[in-house]
Amino acid sequence: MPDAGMVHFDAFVASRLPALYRYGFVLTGTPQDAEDLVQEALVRTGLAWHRVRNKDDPERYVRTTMARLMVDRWRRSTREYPVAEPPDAAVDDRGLQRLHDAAEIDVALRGLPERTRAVLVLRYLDGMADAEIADVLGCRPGTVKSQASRGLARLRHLLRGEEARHGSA
Amino acid sequence: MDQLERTLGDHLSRAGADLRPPAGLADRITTAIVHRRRRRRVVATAAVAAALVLVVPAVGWVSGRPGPSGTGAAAGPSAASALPPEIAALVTDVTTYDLDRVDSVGPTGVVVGGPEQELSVDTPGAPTRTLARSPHAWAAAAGQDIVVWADHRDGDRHDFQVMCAGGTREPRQVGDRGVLKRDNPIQVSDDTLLWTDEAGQAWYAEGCAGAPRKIDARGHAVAFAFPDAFLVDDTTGELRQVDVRTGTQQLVPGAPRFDVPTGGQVFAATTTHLAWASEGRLSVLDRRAVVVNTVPGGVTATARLTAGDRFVVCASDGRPETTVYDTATGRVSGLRMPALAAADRFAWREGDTTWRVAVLRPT
Repeated sequence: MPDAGMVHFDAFVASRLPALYRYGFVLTGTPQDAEDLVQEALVRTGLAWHRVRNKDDPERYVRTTMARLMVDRWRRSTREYPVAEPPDAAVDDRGLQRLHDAAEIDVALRGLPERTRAVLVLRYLDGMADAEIADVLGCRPGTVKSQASRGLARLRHLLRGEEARHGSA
Repeated sequence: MDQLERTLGDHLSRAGADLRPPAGLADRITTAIVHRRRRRRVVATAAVAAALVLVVPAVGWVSGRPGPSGTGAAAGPSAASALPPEIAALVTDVTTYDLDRVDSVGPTGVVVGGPEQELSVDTPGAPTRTLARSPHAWAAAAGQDIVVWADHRDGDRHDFQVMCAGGTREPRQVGDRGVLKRDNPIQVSDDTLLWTDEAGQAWYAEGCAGAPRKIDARGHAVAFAFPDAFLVDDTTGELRQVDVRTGTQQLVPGAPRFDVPTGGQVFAATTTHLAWASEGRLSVLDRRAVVVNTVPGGVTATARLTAGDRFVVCASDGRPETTVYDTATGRVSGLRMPALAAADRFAWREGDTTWRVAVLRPT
């Protein structure tokens, strides 16, 4: 007879895997890394499911595990990011322009250190306060604030560089 | 919130909206869970079998301790088959643990590590003991009878505090000044703790209950082989050794000046050797002969460096590459797995979660 707890876990995975996979993509920037990240986080969650299922919000537990894994395990590793080819020439199409802007932000985000990217995701996607982010990542709120500030400054710099390149093209 | 922050929030909430999980991912997760559970059961079953076998006088156990039970499963030297022959030849007995990670191995074979977001201690012959359920517990080190670690416990006041657990007693905080967040932040040798506080002052304490005492020398603590504490001067880069009992200090003969502020340099010490890894090289100082041997290659700046009676072990963080320096022969071995050394113990990982801890033949 299947373990009732694991039936519950399977149902949780079935319902939340798409959202968690997307979250992994936002954190890591590539579908391949997102797959690795969400798989590892859910395996660890499954192994501890008897504890996790009693928590108010299992999905938050998984997301926190993903953010910590991302910072701890993915840091310092050299990664290659597949980047889509940019269009050959600027096209006056607002839909395409939005896609283009999104691609630039993606590239800029991938240029950030893992911890900084995690801080930005937790702050601007999850809407966490700096104190909460500090708790998730194991650092001080001041560190979160400075990481976010540096990350935003870096993004501005990268995006301005892209803007200048397109402007001169 | 400015325009960039709003744009970023919008972008992140839309990113990957059209992505779907790869087919079969949910099945792979289920299979991986079953696989890891099965592996844990195998180890646990082996532990029971080993305990039964060890009712008979413990042939093959040279440490004089009773055979292990709990999570540790005993095995003969054949369990060292994954090791290079020059290391396997020194292995006399092996205990196997199933752990997500191992942070430290103590001189008595105590293993400190655990599953995600926990810190536990496994001792041969005793059940697993959980020391902390905290996502922030790190930098654990094991002594003869104590385990020390850093944990984030008092909110904004400090980053991390020094925690200590002795025997079966409850963990307690040592000192109240926090611990500097650097490589090798807490050292333990002969159950004496050594650490550097957030102001850069080095301290030591005898056991978990000992009163913290300042070390009257400049620099932050990087290694400890009782009674000698090793400190790198934060202004000159000099490496100094201080006898914590007497306070006498001297520059370490044969040691270079290190870059300051230090970063990416890790140290380990025994009573006979002092080792440091930096800039892709592992250097081992024979403290008696004052001779430095340098091993090129295979050492990253973020390595974990440990030293035992026989081996200095440099495990590259984030990569399964380990350099093992044999202090008796000068021979260097490469392992494709993480490993650690302490006193006469040598630990290595096989697969994802199988850790083996061996007793080595006396040098």
